[in-house]
Amino acid sequence: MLVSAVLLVISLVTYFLLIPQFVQENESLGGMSPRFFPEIGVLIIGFFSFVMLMASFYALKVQARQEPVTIQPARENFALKPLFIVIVFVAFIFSFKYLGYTFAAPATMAALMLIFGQRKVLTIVLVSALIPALLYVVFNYGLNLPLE
Amino acid sequence: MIEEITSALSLVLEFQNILAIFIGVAFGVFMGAVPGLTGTMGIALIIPLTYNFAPITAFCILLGAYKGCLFSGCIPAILINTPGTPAAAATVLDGYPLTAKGKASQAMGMALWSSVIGDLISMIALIFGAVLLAKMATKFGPPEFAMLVLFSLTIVAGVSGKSLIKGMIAAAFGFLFGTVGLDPMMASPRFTFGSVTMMNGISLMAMLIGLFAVSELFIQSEQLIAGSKQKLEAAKAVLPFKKIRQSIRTIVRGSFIGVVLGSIPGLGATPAAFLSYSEAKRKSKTPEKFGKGSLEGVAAAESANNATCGGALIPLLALGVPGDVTTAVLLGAFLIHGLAPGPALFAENLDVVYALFISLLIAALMLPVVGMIAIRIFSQIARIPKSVLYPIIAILCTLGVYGFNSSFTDLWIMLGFGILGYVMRKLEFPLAPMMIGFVLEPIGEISVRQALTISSGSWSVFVSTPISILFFVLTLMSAAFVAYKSMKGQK
Repeated sequence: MLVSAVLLVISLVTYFLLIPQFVQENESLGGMSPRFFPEIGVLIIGFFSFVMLMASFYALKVQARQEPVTIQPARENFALKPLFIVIVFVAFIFSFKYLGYTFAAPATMAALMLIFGQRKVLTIVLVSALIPALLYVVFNYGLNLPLE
Repeated sequence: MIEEITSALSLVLEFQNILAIFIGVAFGVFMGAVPGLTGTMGIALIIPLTYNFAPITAFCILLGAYKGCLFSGCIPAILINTPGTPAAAATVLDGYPLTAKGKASQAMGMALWSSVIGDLISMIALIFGAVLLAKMATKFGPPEFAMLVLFSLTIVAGVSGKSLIKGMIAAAFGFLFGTVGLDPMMASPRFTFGSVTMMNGISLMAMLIGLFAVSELFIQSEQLIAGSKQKLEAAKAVLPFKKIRQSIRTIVRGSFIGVVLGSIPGLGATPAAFLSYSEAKRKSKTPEKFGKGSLEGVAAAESANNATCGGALIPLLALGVPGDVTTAVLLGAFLIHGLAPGPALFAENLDVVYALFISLLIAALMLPVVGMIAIRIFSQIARIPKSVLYPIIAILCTLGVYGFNSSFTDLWIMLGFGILGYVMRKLEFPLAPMMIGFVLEPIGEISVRQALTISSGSWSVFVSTPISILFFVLTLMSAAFVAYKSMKGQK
C-alpha cells in the first residue's frame, strides 16, 4: 500500500511540478508538445498506482475479515550491506574522477572484497593489485579506451 | 550466376580470409561477453586495423566481429545475471534462473544452438530475400513505425511476471526515462536539470548495467558466505538434441521475428528479442515456467537476437540503409574499403555480394566452435569465490560504462539505476518492462511526431495504410488476449 501511495505521489509531483518546470512547452508542426510523451508516461504510472492502491485497500479489507493485519517491517526487506556497497561506489566514482584510476580501482577492489566477506590479506592484496592492472592494460592498450 | 559464385568462392576461400573470419568472430565474442563493451565499439576498434588489408579480408573480419558480438551477450547474462549487450537483457529472464538451478550448461547450450540456427535462418533470408525484404522495409514510414512500436509495447504483458500492474508501472517509468534529453523534433530540453551531459539522454548501457548488474551486486551482498562459489556446474554448452527439438518451433518463430524486425531500420535486436520472448510465452504449453528458468525462453530470446544479423544486413546491402548503429559503423567500414552498398551493388558487383554471403555463412559455421571455446573460458568464473568475483564484476561494469562514453555522469546514472533496480527487485517489480519502455520510447515518439507533422496533426494517418492497420489490429487483438488471460487468471 505504501509503495502504491508513494508512486501516486511521484506521478502527481512529476505531472504538476517537474514537467511544467523542466520540460519546455514548444509546439511542433504536428501540433504535439514535447510534454506530451512525458505526460503519457506519468499518467500511466499514476493510473496503475491508483489501481494498485485500491487493490491493496481491498486486499487489506479482505485480510482484516479473516485474520489480524501484520505489516512487515522494512528492515526485514532491506539489508544494510547494499548501503556499504553504495558508499564504496560513490567513493570510487569521486576518487576515479579526482585521483585517477591507479589509486581508485585497487582501493575499491579491496573495500568490496572486504564487504563481500574475503578475509585473507594476501588474496585481497594480490587481487586488488593484479585485476585493476590487467583491466588497465586491456582498456588502455588493447581497446584504446584511456582510463585516466 | 554460377560464374559469380565461383569467383566469390575463390575470393573468400583463402587462408588469410578464413583466419580473418575466425579472428573477427573471436574478437566479437570477447566484446559482447564483457558487460559494457558492445559490437559497435568492437567494429569501430577493428576498422583502423583493416586499413592495410585487402577489402575482402577486411569485410571478413568485420562481419565475423558483427556475428560474434551478437551471440556472446548471452554468456554473462546467463552466468552472472548481467547482459553483455542490450539485446541479451531478454536472455537474463530465464538464463540466470537456470544457472541458479545448476543448469548453466543447458542454458548455454540452448543459447548457442538457438543462436546458430537463428543465424543460419537469417542468412538464408538474406541470400534469397534481400531485395524483396528490403522493398518491404522501405514501405515503413513514420505511421507504420508508430503502430509497430505500439504493438511491440504489448510485449510488456509477456515479461511482467506475477503482476501486470507492476509491469505496466515499470514500463511507464522506462518510457518516462526515455524522454530525458533533447526532444527529437524541437530540441527542447526535457528533465536535463540544466546539465549539458543530460541533453544526450540517459545512456542505455549505464541503465542496463545499473539495473541488472549493480542491483545484482546489492542482492548478492545480502547473501554473503565468504569463499562460496556460484551454484554452477562447469558450463560446457551441453544440451541433448531432444531439448533443441522440443524448442525448434520457438527457435524458428524467433528467427523469423528477428529477420523481419532486424530488416526494419531503426528497431534493432533488443525489441526483437523481447517480442520473440513474449510470443514464445504466449504460445508455450508451460508459460508458468517462463521467468523461472525456461529453456524455451532462452531459445526465443537468443534466436531472435542473432537472426537480426541477417535482417539488419538486408537494407544495408540492398539499399545502403543501415538498420542500427552497428550496421551504420559497418557501412562506414564498407565505404572506407571502396564498397558502396545499394541496388547498384547487386547489379554491378554480384561476385562481391556473394563473397560477403559466403563469409557470413563461414562465420555462422564458426560460431559454434568459437562459442563453445568462449563458454568454456568464461564459465571458469564459476570457480572464482564470490568474494573475489563480485568485486571484479563491479570494477569491470564500471569501466565498461565509463569506456562507452568516457563520462562520469554515466557512472552516476549506472549507480542510480543500480539502486532503483535493487528497490524494484525487493518490491517485486520486474526490470525487463522498464528496459522495453526505455528502448521503444524514442523510436515511438519520433515516429508519432513525424507522422503527425506529415499529416498536419490528423491522427487518421495511423490507420491510413494496410501495414499500419495490420499492426493496429494486432495490437487490439494482443491487448484483448492479455485482458482475457488476466480475467481468467483472477477467476
